[in-house]
Amino acid sequence: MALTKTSDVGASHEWATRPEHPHLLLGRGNYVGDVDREGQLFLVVVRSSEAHGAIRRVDVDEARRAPGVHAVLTAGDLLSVPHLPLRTPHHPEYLPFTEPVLADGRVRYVGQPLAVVVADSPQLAEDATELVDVEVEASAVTTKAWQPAESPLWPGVSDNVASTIHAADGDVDAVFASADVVVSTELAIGRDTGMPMETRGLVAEWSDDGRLHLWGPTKIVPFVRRAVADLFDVPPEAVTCHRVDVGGMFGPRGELYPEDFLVPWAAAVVQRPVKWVEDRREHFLSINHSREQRYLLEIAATRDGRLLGMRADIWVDMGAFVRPVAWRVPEGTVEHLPGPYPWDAVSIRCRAVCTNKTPAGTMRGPTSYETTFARERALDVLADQLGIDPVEVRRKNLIAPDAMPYQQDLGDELAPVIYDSGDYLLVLDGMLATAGLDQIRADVERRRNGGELVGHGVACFLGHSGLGPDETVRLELTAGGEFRVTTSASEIGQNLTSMVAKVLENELGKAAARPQVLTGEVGGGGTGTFASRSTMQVGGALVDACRQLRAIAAERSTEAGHDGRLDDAASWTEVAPIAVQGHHRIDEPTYGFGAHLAVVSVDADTGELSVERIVVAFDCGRAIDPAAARAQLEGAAVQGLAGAAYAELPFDDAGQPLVTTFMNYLMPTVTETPPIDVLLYELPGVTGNRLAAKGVGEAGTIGVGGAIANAVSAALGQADAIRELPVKPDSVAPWLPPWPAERAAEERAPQPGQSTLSGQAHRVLVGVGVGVGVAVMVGVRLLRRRRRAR
Amino acid sequence: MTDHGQAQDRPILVNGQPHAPVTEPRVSLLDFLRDEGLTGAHAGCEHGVCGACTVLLDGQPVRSCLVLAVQATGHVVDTVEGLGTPEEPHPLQVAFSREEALQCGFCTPGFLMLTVGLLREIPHPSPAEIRDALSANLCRCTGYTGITRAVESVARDEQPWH
Repeated sequence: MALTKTSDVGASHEWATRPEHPHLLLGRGNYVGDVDREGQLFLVVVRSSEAHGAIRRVDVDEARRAPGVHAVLTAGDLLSVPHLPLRTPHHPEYLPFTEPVLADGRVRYVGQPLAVVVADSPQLAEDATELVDVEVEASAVTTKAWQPAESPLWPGVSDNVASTIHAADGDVDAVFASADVVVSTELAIGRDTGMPMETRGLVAEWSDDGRLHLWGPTKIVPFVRRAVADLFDVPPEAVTCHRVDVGGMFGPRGELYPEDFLVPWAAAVVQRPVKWVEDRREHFLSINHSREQRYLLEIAATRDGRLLGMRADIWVDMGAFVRPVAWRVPEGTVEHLPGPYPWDAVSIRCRAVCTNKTPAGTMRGPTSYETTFARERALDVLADQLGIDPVEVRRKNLIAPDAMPYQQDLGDELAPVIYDSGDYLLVLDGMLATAGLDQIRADVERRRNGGELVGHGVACFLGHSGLGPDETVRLELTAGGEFRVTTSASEIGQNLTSMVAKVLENELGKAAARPQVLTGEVGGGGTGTFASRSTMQVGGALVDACRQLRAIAAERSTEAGHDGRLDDAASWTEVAPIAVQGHHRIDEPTYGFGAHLAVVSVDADTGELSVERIVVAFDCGRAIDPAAARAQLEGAAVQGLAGAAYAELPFDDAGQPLVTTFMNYLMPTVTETPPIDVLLYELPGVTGNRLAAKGVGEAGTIGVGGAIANAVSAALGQADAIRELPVKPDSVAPWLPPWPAERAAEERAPQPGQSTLSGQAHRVLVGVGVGVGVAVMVGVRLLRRRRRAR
Repeated sequence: MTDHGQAQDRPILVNGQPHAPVTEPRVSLLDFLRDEGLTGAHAGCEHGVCGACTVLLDGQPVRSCLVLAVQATGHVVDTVEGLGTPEEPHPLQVAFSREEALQCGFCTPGFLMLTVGLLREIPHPSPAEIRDALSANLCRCTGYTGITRAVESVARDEQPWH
């Protein structure tokens, strides 16, 4: 008994607070895995299990003969193997490093596509992939971006450096020479990824009239449509991307991947619809990775804590190829390292280095999360060296409101970054007051005096949003008096639909509060759903559309002899139908200030972290939907927590990924998640968009890494203790007291009247007790894990 | 050895409706349900960790990605599709909407069925019992606060929730 899949429950959602809720709650979502086309076949990708080497053989004969198999395709079946394009024309230096849709002659990362199998069922396709015989002559593998290259991934690029960016402003040598104090830190962030709960998928179907129908593209639909059209030499208008529900985006999903070519290609070859849904292991191997960077960071300051200069050498691990969006990472890193503080001089060098790992891209708060961690760690080290409270160092240096708009020049290679508006100190102080900093300090001190390892840490950050260039929306008042909005932006769970409804209500009144909203509809223009831009861009375009529509409606109303007021559905119906297109353009991103605070305790015996509390404050300019804004900040904070304390994607020296399941990719459950306090500020001064809004979708994650690393260092009583994310028990071990702490204390101070055993027997007993204790702890751990997995 | 002949005649009862049982051994209960058009249960990992596939088997929350469909022959399965309708949603569905307990919705059916299983066993669970049960499933969007609030509100409700 098949239920209808589309959101046909619109009329009866009185009980739901948001129109985008009912179908998801009723189990009637239409995610790409739910899409079924008549006659469809299923595609599975054959992936490399070697990290680097020359492909000697990909033998598909046996696979082709396997039951239910319709086709097995390799690079040899293409006249030339296309490469994924760069999502910018401005960085031709990365063109030599783009990824072929199928490995062609050489493999460069574990998981790289080698062939595709198309069969009657996913199971039969998987069976056939095991019959594909691959021989790779392994080459030496490079996994450490910051070390001299083991072996080149690319001919003629002996150091594996795809590009180097150098930003410079002011005389950094003079500034450093004259400074009272210079702190030097070496910092690293582990590889991570957005990890939505839904894996990627794609359904492709060619219709008889030569149109290509796709289900699956979500983030940058217009770009994907154009890129796929290019790959198949058809006009973009011939490609239709049908709307699907999206199980989380977070940056990596919706980018252009090899499968965006492979699936439609397969569909053209077998002349049937082809469906592909990756499993979680494939997702780990193939989705854009992110975050992995290494810093040599130096900060120069005066004796009383005024920041003077910044020098940095950064390595960004790009993975094996430069993917469509990856060029943005080294550039953004340089742009965002200075942060919300003024510097007399900066010199930042950033190398984009290729390694034999899954290629990198962006993920929520890209480059802001990483640079905030590095910078805010260095500021705490500086504070300690100067004997100044870390919070005071921030308060002393934050860019003042009367300095806005503030321009941070970056030299010849990059356009300056312009912080358009905000009151940074107000937001920081507000966060600290809400968090109850005085009480936190008192509690932490009391607990530390009692022997606990506990500390608090703060991180300040800027979140940029609203990248352009523009958006277009279609607004209709139908003959029946219903409002309909069409946009190419995607509903990814960020409550885009609700935002549209709220803007309409604000602009046109209550009668317009329940529009039909068609998201993911390409046709009229638009760029996509990324960089927290939708409220600003789509909302801005909608405001334009509403004003046009109201003007037309008012004119018609007065022409008909009415008073021009449009209060209720009846008066709207009288002036219907109307259709307008609204447009919005943003030339510069906007910057929103935020601050995180974390309280963390460390178990003195095991080194295990307990993140007890996270507070986040963020200035979003204007919150169209405060509940949704808070929900974004909360969810993002937990995602930041994951990368700060639990989750990473390490590779071994052979380039093998060590984490490919949720069993060791530790995503926080409700147990690990502390109370998250959210403070939302709406400060004026945003001129870049009609709604005076700043994007809020990513901000909640940006300062979490820095705040937690600062809190743990404080807990350990060693300002420069934590230099790497995620913070693991191994990282804190060097600073823990001798283990087991309690027993060591007892042994040092024996009580009268206790054990009459000889010293040796006592030690044996202690040893046995410890052994039993460890066994019990391990047993409890395993039990908990098994219970969770049931 | 089980009596295959007789066992194969018994249907799988899903939301009160009989479905012809599956004979191919390697088909998971998740795949079976989704092939039957009940696509509310989702494949998040197929390793049994994330819980997006959670359904009730004889009233117990299970990872349908790890249960073989043949194991469900003759047994009772409850999925999110049987929970409520657009006109008459389940109190949990109403609470989830009210408390911002979902964003992308992919983990939501799993959390709903996990919670139904909890409430059948413990009609008014304490916050600690709720946290303990909810820790079985993963959500990447919400940070769990809305989900916890939604379940706590239904747990406090004096009205019979079923």
